[in-house]
Amino acid sequence: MGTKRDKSLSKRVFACLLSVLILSAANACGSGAATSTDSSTSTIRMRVQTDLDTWDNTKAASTGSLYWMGPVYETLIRATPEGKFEPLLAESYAFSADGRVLTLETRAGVTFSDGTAFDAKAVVSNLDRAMTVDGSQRAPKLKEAIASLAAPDETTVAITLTDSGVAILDLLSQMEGIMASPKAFAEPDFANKPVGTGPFVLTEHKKGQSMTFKANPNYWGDGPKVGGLELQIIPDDQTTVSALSSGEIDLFTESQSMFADTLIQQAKGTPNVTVAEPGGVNLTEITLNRAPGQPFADPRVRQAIYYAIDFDGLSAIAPRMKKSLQYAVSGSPFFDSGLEDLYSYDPGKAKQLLAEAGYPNGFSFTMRAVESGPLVPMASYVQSNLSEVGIDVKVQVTPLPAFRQDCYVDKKCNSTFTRVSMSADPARVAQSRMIPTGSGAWGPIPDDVNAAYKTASALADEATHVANVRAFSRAYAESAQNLVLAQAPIAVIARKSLSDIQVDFGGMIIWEKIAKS
Amino acid sequence: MSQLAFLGRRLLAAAILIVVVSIGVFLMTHLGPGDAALARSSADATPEEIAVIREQLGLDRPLAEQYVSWAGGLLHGDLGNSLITGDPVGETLISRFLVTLSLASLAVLFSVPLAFVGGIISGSRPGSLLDRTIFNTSSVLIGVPSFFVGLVLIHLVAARGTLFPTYGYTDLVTDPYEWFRHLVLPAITLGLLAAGELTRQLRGSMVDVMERDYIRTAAAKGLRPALILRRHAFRNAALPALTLLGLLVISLLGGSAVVETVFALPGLGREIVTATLGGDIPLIQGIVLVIAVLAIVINTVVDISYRLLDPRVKIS
Repeated sequence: MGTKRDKSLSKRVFACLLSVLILSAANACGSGAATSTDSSTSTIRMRVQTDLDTWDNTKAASTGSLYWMGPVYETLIRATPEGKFEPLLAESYAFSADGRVLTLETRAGVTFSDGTAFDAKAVVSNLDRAMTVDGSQRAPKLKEAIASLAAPDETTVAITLTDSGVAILDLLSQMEGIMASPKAFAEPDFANKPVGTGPFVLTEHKKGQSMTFKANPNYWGDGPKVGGLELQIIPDDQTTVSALSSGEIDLFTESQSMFADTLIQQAKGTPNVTVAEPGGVNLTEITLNRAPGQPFADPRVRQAIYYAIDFDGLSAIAPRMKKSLQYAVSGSPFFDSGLEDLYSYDPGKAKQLLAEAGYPNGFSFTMRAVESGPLVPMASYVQSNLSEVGIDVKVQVTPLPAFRQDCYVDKKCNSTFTRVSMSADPARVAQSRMIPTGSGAWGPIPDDVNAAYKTASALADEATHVANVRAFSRAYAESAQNLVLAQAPIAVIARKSLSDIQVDFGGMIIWEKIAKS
Repeated sequence: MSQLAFLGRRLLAAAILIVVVSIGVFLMTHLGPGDAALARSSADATPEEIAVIREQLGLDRPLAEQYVSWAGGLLHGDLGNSLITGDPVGETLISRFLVTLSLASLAVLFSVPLAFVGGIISGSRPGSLLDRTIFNTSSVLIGVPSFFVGLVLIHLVAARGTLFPTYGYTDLVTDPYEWFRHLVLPAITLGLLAAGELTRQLRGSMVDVMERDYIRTAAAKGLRPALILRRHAFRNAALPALTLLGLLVISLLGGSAVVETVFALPGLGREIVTATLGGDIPLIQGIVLVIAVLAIVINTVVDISYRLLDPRVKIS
């Protein structure tokens, strides 16, 4: 009896082991069984790191939500990777002579994917809803810029701007410019069933897992060039690289991980994978608390920090980051190449400025940073630079919620090392640093810089606005209000089977263009 | 004490414990910096804009009022809505719990046989080469972080073949084969740690039991070693391992966050990380509540199964 049972047990153990071996062998050989993650030439799978909270464009958390919404929704204006504005759902646009009224002509032949016509009324409905609906995240910025809306005919929209409305094109190229079907946003489940004019239509959103789209058969433009799209939520970077390597996903854009550069290098070494830098921009800066009594209240101290930073060394730490001292992206009409040589590495000059400011032996301060991209290694490098001129810096890495509460809301930080929330129009980027309630507004601003900002923010025709913004950028950099350091294009890591990968200014993929062979 | 009275006492204690835990978690989520209003606002939002969102979410109300409102809803079976997505917390919990339950179940199915075989073989031959090998292997399994094991498995197995996917999940009802395929590697990752701990526990118990007089008596009576192991040694050695198994199941359910993140499984563990980062208090409360209830249920089941395994044990 016992012998039989023993034999039976041995057989079961053997069977289990054999099963494991067979599974492993089958996996190694590649069974190619039909699965939900099979490669398909007609579907592109892209990794996203987190989920989208809502498809209601007025209530979605941040400007970054366009990243998920891009396949479904389109904006009135699009900002190119170089920071130039071009019409998208608006076929054309023009400012009145005084810059007070922006007139948009809606694109002909466009319908929402539910069949609703896209016309001037739809534009007014969307903007009006974004400004008035309860809980709208878009309302503050739109209300600040728009005084009134009108649709004089079926295709024309007249937007009368407030005194603060100069960056309206930039605003309409972001979440604030998204157009959703008025019929759809009247429905109670709009937050789960988005209807836009984009190249894809959402078919399924598995919360925490994936978003599945099919091509919009009635898309007005050229494309899309694939039948389907899946955004797969994969939180971990290493898993993402493995999934790309095995072909389970086709692409991902640059990670916010502090090991982003390492990951990109790793991806470059993976067969069938390519790293593209089609545009967009990551920009880093040091913000300084200039409140009275702080060392940074003295412009010489702030300038000394600029002179103490070895920009070449900084680029060696984060190889894709190139020196840049302004909020404008290289190639943009707002970019002033003459500004880039304003501060060069000169520790002697830094020491001299510190001595003149009353800090011959330096001083100490805490610099807060979040784990995002290469920020922490870059902050550590700046720390070593500053120690050479006698400034003792403590780099404090802080979780994002605590960082935002302490530094942006309570404003109790000495200094931050951050990634800049970018816009194509530098006047908009500067806004949060220049208005008293802005997240990066720390302390008094010199009269000349303030005057330059007011001019740059005033309504004007496009050419004048560009000139005004460039003048402001120079005043801002010369007085070293905050220290803009470096910019890098956003990397897209993709399998070689993908082609025509294009992005907009924010690094969002232009979905109707991308193709898969 | 009858089993019914025992259950009644356990339920009362459980209810008190859940209230205490929920108050503790509620306070902790408010003590830390940042909240759902910050998570929902854009990076360049002004403090005034953040304050408006805070008001819309009801986060400006006094803490006691917020807690009472949540607890009142709970009494009516309403766990509230997520502050971030607006989805009902109850629905989110069910979908996420089923994923974690699937993962933990497969991890237990993988680890228990492995641990029992290893523990019995090791414990019945203490000091042998096999014993030392099993003992050291289980020590390594306990020491190696699960994210590392997960990434190694992904790199060595998933990324080089097509049978086991690198990430993702499919419902059991939708496609049982896909469900199993997606969970194999995460379950092995999670199960290896449990297997290591269980093996060591069982080995220790076996070594202890094998030195008892009744084992020597059984051997002296001429019983076959396999029979002694199965009928006399293992049954007695299994009780402490059972307690550990109960604790491990609780830790597998509550502590699967790392494995779920590495394999992109939409389970409770990953959800609580996301909810905590976003200050999504109703969701955090709901998840903690589920885990607390599970811990109590599993502990009660373990206590009762003690008596089933050994009639000499009295429940008190």
